[in-house]
Amino acid sequence: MSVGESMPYKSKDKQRVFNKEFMPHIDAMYNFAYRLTLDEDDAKDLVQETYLKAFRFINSFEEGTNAKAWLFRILKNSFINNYRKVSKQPNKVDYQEVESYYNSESVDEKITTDLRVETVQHMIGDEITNALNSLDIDFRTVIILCDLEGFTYEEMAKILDIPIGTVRSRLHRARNLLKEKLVNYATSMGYKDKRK
Amino acid sequence: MEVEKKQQCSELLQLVIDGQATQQQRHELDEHLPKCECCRNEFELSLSIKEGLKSRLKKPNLPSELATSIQSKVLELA
Repeated sequence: MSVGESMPYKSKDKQRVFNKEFMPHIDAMYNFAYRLTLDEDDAKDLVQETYLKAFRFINSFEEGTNAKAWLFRILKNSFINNYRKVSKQPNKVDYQEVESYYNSESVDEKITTDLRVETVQHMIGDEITNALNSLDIDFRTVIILCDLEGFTYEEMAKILDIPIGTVRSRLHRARNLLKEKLVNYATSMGYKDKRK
Repeated sequence: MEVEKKQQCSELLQLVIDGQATQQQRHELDEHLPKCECCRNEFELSLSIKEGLKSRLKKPNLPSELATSIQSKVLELA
């Protein structure tokens, strides 16, 4: 993920590194792009743009380092630059509000008691997908990176350009919001809590 | 459960669930869970959501021509 530290590649090496290090991640890249844009054509354009940028800036990539995180970072930045400003996504999250929310414990208690493991296990992909997609983009992103792609907090901090502490608090808040959405789905679908 | 303790537990749960906890933190949670139903419930629920996200989320199909299209555009740039 370092920038400008490696030696420039020779022309034939650029192709080789591109195909060997970058192309194997195209599935994950498309998934990420699709979950950000929620549109197949936009996802395709975003992935293509990211790969072309990656090729142009390939000298900033050190062979053998974390290509997937490096690509995800470019994709995320391209998304912010191109799509976010024209999209109808809610405004950027107020992190002052996030931190104060994070520091209040009452929310966790309520959600945990309102949602059961059995209920989640009975939910189908559509319900979980809808709940995830309804989250604000910043919250959706940390869940995708952590739970779907398995990035570490440190990798996420680099991809998102935020401190690790913020990764953790945003993830915590994102999961609580997701639980709230799942509670709402469960209620609307008529899942019953057997304890009541 | 007192507020501060609850918050510490939530943070610990998240670290363990995400595979980011140290051995000592995992041990701390292993010690705590049998004694606290609230944290046990939260742990199991969080695990099941994480598992549901990983295994049941609908995956978009990668457009078949995308990789070829990228590689031919890169050839033009090279």
